Amino acid sequence: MDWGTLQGVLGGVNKHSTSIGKIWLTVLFIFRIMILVVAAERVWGDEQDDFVCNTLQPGCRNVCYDHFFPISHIRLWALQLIFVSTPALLVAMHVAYTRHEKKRRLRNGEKIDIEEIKNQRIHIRGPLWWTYTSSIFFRIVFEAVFMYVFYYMYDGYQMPRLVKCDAWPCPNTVDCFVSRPTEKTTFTIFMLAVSGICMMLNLAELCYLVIKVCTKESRK
Amino acid sequence: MGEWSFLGDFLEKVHKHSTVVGKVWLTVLFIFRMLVLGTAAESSWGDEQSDFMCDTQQPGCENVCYDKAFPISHVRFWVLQIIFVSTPSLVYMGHAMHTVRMEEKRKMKEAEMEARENKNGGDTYYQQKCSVAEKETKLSGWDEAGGQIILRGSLLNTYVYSILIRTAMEVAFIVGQYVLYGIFLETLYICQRAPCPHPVNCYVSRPTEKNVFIVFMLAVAVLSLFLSLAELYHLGWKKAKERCSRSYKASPSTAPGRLESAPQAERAQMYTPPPDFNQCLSSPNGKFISPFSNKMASQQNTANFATERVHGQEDAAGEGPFMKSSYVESPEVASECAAPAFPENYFNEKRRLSKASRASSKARSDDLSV
Repeated sequence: MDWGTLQGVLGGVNKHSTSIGKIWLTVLFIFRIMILVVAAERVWGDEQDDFVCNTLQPGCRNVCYDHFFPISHIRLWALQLIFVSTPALLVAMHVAYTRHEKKRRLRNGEKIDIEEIKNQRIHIRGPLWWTYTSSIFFRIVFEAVFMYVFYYMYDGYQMPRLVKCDAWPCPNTVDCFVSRPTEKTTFTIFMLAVSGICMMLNLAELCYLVIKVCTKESRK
Repeated sequence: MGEWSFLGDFLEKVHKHSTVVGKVWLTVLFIFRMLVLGTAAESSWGDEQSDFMCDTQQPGCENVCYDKAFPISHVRFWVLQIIFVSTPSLVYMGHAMHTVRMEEKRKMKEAEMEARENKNGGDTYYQQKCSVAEKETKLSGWDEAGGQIILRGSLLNTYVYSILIRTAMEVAFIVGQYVLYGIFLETLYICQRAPCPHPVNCYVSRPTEKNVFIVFMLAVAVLSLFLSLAELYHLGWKKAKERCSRSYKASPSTAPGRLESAPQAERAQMYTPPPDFNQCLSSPNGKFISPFSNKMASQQNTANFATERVHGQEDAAGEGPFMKSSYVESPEVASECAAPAFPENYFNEKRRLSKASRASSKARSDDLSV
């Protein structure tokens, strides 16, 4: 999975974010994407090969694995990270649109410096404020939804060591053993904690933006 | 190493704004930890579960025994260790970037103000001098010439805290590794856990190679710990030295030998102004010193120039080539900005040095009277 492209895109958004937004981005890249790529993928790498069932019945192991792991943790985290990063693209698009408008005005004869347009740090005001705030709101929603999906799908956040499976074609209730359950539990809880931190950061940013606008209005 | 590039890019920025010891620590982190982990250790631990053999046919016994023997693999443990140990540096970098931004904003505002003053015209000379003096006496965090951040005040505190937390993390992970695995890995692991029917012999894959890497990573962790402690000591010692020298300057003790010290240190803030008549009236001891008597004035001016050089040399002493760590208090700017900025103990020193230069500070018949 090529996370470098995502880094390239989100790096551009970083320039126009608030300080809390920058912290959020750092946490996202170092504590989530990097941990996913460097550590978690190795832990879950052999999850089906080392899923052992106490039976000789052909096909029983496959069916039991599929029953207990409809979608692997790794893929679910990858989806979560993509969904959570996507709202920032809205902000990037808005900024690009604003710049395009300025260039268009330049072409129509107004005196605006090209270099200034390219390098200018656009402040979060007006319609951009609405785009930015709604992007944060959607980020929070996506985080919460995925945290719930994890909880619902896997019955909590702990990886069981033994699962009892009686799906067809298993002849009776069969003991199946999950590979590396302790390590998987450790990383699940770690990723959950970091999701929580990211959600707190997003809430803080939302509050900050709202308060900033309210104080501006009251000063006027 | 491509996977580590996310962290690597952030740490490159930290590298620019660290002390010498900090840079050494970062280099050790990059080369001896990240690189070794990414290239060598990963492949050594690659087949850790597939080649973990137990002397049993019982299905599931190998899985549970592996899980019991290795609750978290060494490689993942080291990955977490590297990330947690690097995190405080990122916090410091965030603060440093914030300081830089505040500094840039301040400069922009001042430039705007000056432009406005120039537009308004009027008595701009003293106003400019005023703003220049204010600029120089404010505790700025950014050195134009060097492009480096100067460790002062709250930024220095953040840096010290980041090193303290880093040290604590390092210790915690070293102790954690010892508690989990001890130091060496045994070839044989005896496992008793359901569904294994009885205690079962399990054999770890590549124990010797793993031991070599375990010892290596432990040694590097201890080295990093020592580097962090050395950096703390270096910063703490400098701070204590500064405090001592400041209290030493305040007390009127003689230091004639210092006057001869040669090298010129740049002092952006201090310069020795010609004595102003007004200042003579405000001498703290009530004694009248006339700066206009020729002999005394020239002697004392020479002495004062040397003193200023010594101040500069003291402050510059012990600085590494990359970092200016100065612990400077802003001298008081006089209310009328036309008055030159005198150091606080200018007159004490004058008196002290006058003793050394054997000039009398008593009032004389040809002195100007007030």
